[in-house]
Amino acid sequence: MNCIIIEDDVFYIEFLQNYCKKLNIEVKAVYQNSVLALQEIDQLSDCDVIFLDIHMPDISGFDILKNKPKSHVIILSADDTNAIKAFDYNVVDYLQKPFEFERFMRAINRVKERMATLTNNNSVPAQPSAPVPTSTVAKKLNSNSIYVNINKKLIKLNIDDINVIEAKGDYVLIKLENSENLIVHSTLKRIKEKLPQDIFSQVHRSYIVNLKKIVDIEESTIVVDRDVIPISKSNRAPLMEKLDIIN
Amino acid sequence: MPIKVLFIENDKVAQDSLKSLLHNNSGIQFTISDDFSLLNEPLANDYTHLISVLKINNSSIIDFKNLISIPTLIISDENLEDNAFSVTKSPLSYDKLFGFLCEKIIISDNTLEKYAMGDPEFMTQMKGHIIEEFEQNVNEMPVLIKNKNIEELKSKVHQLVSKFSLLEMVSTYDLSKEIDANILEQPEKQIENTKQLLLDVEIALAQLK
Repeated sequence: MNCIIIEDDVFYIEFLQNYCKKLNIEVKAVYQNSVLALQEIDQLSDCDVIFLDIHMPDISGFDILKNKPKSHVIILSADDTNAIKAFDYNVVDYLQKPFEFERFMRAINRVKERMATLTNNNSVPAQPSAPVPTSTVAKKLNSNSIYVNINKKLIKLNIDDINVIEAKGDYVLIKLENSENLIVHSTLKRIKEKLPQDIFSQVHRSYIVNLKKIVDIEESTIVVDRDVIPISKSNRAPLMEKLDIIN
Repeated sequence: MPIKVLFIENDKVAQDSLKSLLHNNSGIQFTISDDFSLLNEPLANDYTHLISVLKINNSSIIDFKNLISIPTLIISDENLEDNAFSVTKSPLSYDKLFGFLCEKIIISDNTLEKYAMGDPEFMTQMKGHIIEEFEQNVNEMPVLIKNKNIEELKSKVHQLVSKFSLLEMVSTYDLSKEIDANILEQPEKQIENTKQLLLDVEIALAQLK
């Protein structure tokens, strides 16, 4: 695996170089100047992962994301205020500085998973549409609804309105029937525990789907509403068991 | 908690000289009291340090030792032995004052060590970069504060936030986040906070070295 670092803080450049060295990740280039990084955006695609700082002088990390680098991107930031916006650009992970090596490894594993999924499907997973800002944990009240904490207010969600739930680093993206997306600070595991198992199924390490919303099933993917979702081999059999299939 | 010093000094000339001394660093918040009466109140809630003359009239600061729970420096030309407090001869200089403020350790290596995963070279490298960044800020931030260069101050404080976290400077970390989030909307208030933050940076720098 190789990477490019776009970061103006020398401290974090060396910090990342040390962590990369421990995982045998080759650092192909370092851009301390974000303007130069933007000028060479095409070359940025020639790597497996870009570590991209959000707060840089002149040009921010978002200006680079807007130019759609083809490589997987891991965001670096001193705070989590931009996490929701960053995931809208389909970034793989969002690392809040400073981060431990274990957290760095998790981010790299997510890149590897994303790379493997793309290799298997030969297609890029659908980009999420603009999320509605939310925070913290989803909470089950009864079998027909869950509550998500949005700006310190618990909002009731009808579970029938949920199409897909996708893991996004330390957040989960809840895609609703009306095309609205919610980002909640939680994990897929915690959300899964709150959902009725007869209606929802985990089809991939990063995806839970509403069985009622499945449109089409292929060997390694399913279509839920308009989203193409990967199915991992281990999750395929449990999924098929839950569905009424006429052979 | 930002540095806030309680000075106990009843001599007006000495009080003026203290005020002039404190012009050297606008990040030091202070109160000057003419007597020991404030010592009967819970000081730790309001002050981080106490600097006092030994005697006022017939009372001595030593008589209040059981009420004092914050770092204390006594200004006295007498030779004080068997005394739990630090002592310095008069007059108090800025260097002595700053040295006293640095005695209370505000940084920790624990988190840095955890992030360096037992790699001493990595640890030295990280510390070296933090020292360099802190030195640069100690030199440049006073000018930015004086010129009210808000954008540049925000950028510098933003870059410091995670370093305070690494050094476990909890209250400074919280203060830096407040400045970073609000300086554009509340420049006057946050410039005052930045002066206090800069003092913490100076103290941390002295302790890192």
